[in-house]
Amino acid sequence: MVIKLPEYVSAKEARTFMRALQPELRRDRPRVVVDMSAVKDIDTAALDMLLECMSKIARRDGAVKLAGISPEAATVLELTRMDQVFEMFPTVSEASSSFSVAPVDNKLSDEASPQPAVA
Amino acid sequence: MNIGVIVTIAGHRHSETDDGKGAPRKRIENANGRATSRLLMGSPVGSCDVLGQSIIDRVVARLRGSGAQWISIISEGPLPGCTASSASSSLYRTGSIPGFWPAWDSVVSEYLNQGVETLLLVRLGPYVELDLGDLLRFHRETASPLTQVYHRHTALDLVVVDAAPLREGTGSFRTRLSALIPQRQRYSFPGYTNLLAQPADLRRLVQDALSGQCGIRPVGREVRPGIWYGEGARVDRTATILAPAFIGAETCIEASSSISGASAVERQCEVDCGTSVDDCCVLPGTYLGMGLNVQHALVKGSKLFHLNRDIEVEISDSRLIGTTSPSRQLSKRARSVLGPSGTFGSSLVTRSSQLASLLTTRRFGRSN
Repeated sequence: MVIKLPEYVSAKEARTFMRALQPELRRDRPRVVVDMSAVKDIDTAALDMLLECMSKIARRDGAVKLAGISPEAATVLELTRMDQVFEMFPTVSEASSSFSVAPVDNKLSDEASPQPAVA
Repeated sequence: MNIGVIVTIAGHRHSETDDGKGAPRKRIENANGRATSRLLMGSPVGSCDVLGQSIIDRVVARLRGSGAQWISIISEGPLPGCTASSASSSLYRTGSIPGFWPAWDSVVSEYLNQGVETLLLVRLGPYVELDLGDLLRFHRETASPLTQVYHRHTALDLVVVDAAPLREGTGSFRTRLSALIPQRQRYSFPGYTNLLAQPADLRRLVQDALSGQCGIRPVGREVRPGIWYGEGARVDRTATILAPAFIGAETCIEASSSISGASAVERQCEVDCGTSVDDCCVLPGTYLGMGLNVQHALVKGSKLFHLNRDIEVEISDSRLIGTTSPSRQLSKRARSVLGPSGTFGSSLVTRSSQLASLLTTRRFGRSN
């Protein structure tokens, strides 16, 4: 699932985002790409929403990736240290394809280790 | 030294027709066709503080130190960040005269009536550690009516002009000055110059000052080698300050924060708990919220200029960055007056502890 954030992201847009995310949250191993290419301003409520989203998705063994991050958004993410929390990709397609690469990595690690992966 | 100085604070470039007399005219400041605005994050660069004192105040002090007695300051635009000390250092105010050029003409007229023999025209802009005596000697020896200062191949907005041809000519003083341009001599200045054309230039000026590579000295006391505190600066004992660094007057550096990378946090700022500031200039009256990572930037109020990305970002969420509100400043001042043993001070310490505790559990609050 790809969700594009608008130019200005605050509490209202964050609630809209979470509503749009609900169907994905019911699935097993949800995969969400957040397109931040249009973002000019993002406040703490929206950043908090991203953290909450990541937390909920992680509980279902999924992942959230940020893509196409505008310089303005990159500055705010760095300022709030969120750049150390999320995986970030230059484009949406690269973020999306990183999901398909992930199982290969798991397979490789499974081969390398005889221990069964933790569910 | 019978010299009259006019210091122009460059800002929004004033209209070429702001005297209301029609067609644009050639201006000496445009001699090398440089950028037409000298604003830094919305304020004239001349009004910006560098290590506790504005550039304009530093320039005026330097000119006075060189023996100039008549110094007038004219601003091309409003001065939102102008300090009271800037205003008080001017001998002439432009408030009653609308428009830049009428004000400029009025000052020149005043100087000529007072018998000034030489005028020095300075436009900030560039920060130049000029040797005024050497420039005037060069001007006299070349016997040219107009001398313009150059740094390498760049013409600076710094001109010495004889009063006599201005006194004798016809038309406005501005027209008479323009007529002298073809006769100008070039004075090459090899000393410290910073064009202050980009935000990165201001950052470089601060770095150069902190490392002693230019004549700017921090306003404050050196508490440890390379670390200066302005008057009333308060640094929590758990904060880390790495030299060289400058903490401005009445600025608060809260618990567990860090200042590094030749950073300057100017007057009346607050760096909240757990925030790290690296390779930054934090301009006066700025609040940096809790747990932030501010690096390679100039910050002024809600505006952050990222030097590596070369981008200015306006952040609307005042919990991240913003201005230090008067009430917050009052609280800080009260705390510094009463001390930690006072009732008021104790309650604030408790509040600080709560904030630090909040920081460790959850970085961001909700705004619903």
